[in-house]
Amino acid sequence: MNYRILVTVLVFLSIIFLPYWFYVPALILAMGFFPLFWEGVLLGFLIDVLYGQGIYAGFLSLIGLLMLLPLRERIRTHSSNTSL
Amino acid sequence: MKYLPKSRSRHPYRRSLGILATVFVTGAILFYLLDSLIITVVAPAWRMENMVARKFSELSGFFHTQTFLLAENARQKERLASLEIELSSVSASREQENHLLALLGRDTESLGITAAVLTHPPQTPYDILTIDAGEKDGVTLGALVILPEGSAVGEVLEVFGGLSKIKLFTSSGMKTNAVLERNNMPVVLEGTGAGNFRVVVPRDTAVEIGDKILSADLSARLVGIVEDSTFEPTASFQEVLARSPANIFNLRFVLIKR
Repeated sequence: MNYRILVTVLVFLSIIFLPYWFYVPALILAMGFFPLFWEGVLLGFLIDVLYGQGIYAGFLSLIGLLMLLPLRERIRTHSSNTSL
Repeated sequence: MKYLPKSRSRHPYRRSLGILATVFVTGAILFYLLDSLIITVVAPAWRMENMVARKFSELSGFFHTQTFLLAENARQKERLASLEIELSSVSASREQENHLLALLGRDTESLGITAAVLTHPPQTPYDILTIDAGEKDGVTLGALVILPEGSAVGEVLEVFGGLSKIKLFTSSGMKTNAVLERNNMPVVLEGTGAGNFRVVVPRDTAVEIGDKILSADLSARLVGIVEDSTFEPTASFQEVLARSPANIFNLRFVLIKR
């Protein structure tokens, strides 16, 4: 099974059932591990819809991904999996 | 041997930026439009989770040792006795106040809507609760939320069909008018998250650990309890740290005032 889908589903389930100190780091790690983890933005919106107001988590996920764009190129030299 | 220069795009992140922008805009619109549906779909899973957690906590009690249970029983008896004393000291004056308010046509004892808490911190990162009562049950936006014991904990933030979101007074940045009981001094409680408040008062104000902070309305409900106070030698104000009387990490039921 594609790890990316598996991780997305696991983070999704952890958002619904687990404390924030588990799913927030899990989301950050997933964003760092997978190239252009755009699902993170949607998962951020899910956190906002279920537990908050506004679009803070969605917006922060977007900012995180934007910051990772140039960083990933500098720190990863073996990124063979660039497919979305 | 001559190598051809690499064809590099002038904007290497153009495609990625386009994807992220599209996802963000589409997601924001979709989640905004479907928030009620999403939360309604997820609610049964939370109900099931609560049920399973309760069953597990009941099961774990089965394995406690006899010594532990005896000690726990003694502890609970002591706590019950102290609460009974506290209740009896409060109820006499409260009855008189309620009688006077009723005479003035300001009844504060109207019953609220009972609701079970579906999610609470630390599952929610913002000191926000989700409860299983909504528009159908008569919950209105901005209604005061209290504990069955009487202390005020927050107000209704969003109302859906059969669910609502409650913003606790301790939510980060939330400001609530209150009264410092010791001095009858009006203060503004500022939520700092995780069930805590921050209050700034003049340095000469007498504040002690355990002082009560009451709501600024007629009912004067308990909102916070002073935990600590600090001040800089050169400052003219002191910072008082208080906590909510409720354990927000373990809430099961709340009442919503009509």
